[in-house]
Amino acid sequence: MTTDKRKPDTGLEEYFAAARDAAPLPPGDLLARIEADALAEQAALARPRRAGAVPSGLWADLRQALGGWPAFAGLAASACVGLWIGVSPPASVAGLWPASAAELTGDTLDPVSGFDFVLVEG
Amino acid sequence: MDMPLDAMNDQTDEALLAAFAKGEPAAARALTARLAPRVYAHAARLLGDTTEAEDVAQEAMLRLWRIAPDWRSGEAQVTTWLYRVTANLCTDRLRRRSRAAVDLASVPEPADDAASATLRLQDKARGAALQEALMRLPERQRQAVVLRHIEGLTNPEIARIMDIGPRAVESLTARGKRGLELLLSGRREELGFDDDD
Repeated sequence: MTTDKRKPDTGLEEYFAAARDAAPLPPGDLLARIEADALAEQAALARPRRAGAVPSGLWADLRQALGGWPAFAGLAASACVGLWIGVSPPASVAGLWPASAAELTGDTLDPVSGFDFVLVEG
Repeated sequence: MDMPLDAMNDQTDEALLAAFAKGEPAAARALTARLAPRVYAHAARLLGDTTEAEDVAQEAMLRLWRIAPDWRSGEAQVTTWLYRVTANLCTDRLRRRSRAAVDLASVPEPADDAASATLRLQDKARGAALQEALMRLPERQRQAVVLRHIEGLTNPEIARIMDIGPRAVESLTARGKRGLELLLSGRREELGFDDDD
C-alpha cells in the first residue's frame, strides 16, 4: 500500500488502516456467480471463433453474404421455377404474355437443342 | 489445456485476460479470485451498501469478460479499467438514489450510542465511522480518497481512472481529507483515541 509521505499524519491514517484491515469481503455466492458468468461468456466467445475457422474465400464470402446454405436453397428453387415457366409456361401465364410476343423467331425455342447437339456430336 | 490455479498466480492481469479470451477456464477462475474482491470492496466503499455493491461487481466483471477478446495490450492496466467501470456504475446508482430523494448530505448525525458502543473491535468501529464519514463527502472526493488512501493507488493512476489531471486528484483528496477530519473530529474519544494522539 502506498502512503502519503509528503504530508504529516493528520490522524486519519488510523482510520484508513482500519478500513484496509476490514475490507468488505465478497460473499462466496457472488464469486460463484461471477465465475459462472465468465465461463458462459467464454463459451459464447468460442462459438463464433469455430465458425470463423471455416476457410474463407470468394465462395465462402458469397455464401456468407447471401445468408448461408438456406439462402442458396431458396435461390436454386426460384431459378428452377423461373426456368420451368420459361420453357413451358402454364396456361395462366401464357394468357398474360402471349407466346407470339415472346418469340424470338417464328419457331418454338428449344432450350436443350444445344445440349442435344453436343450429345449427338460427342 | 486447463492449468492449475496456482500456476497462474505469477501471471499479469493482462496475460490472464488474454488466456481467458483464448478459452482458458483456469484464467477465468484466477481473474475472478484476483479482481472480483477488489471490485466488490471498491463498490461497497463508494456506495456504502453491500447488496448494491454485489450487483455492481458482477456487472463490472461481466464487462471485463466481454471486452477480453478486444483488449488492446499495453493500452491500459486491467485494474485501472476495472476501477473506472466500477466507479461509473456506482455513479449511475448514486444518481438514481439521489433522484429518489435520498440526500446524503441531509442525513442526520447518527446517535452517539450507535453501533460503535456495542462493537467490540475498535478497528471495526473506526472502519465503520470512516465509511459513514466517507458517505457524507461529495462523490468525487470520496472516490479520490478511497482510491488514494484505502486502495493505495498513486495519483497518476487515480488521474487515469477519474479522467482528470494529477493536480485535480491532489485537490480532491486534500478536500476530502479535510472533510473527513471535520466529520470524525467529534468521535475520537468514542472510537478509542486519546486526546493527545
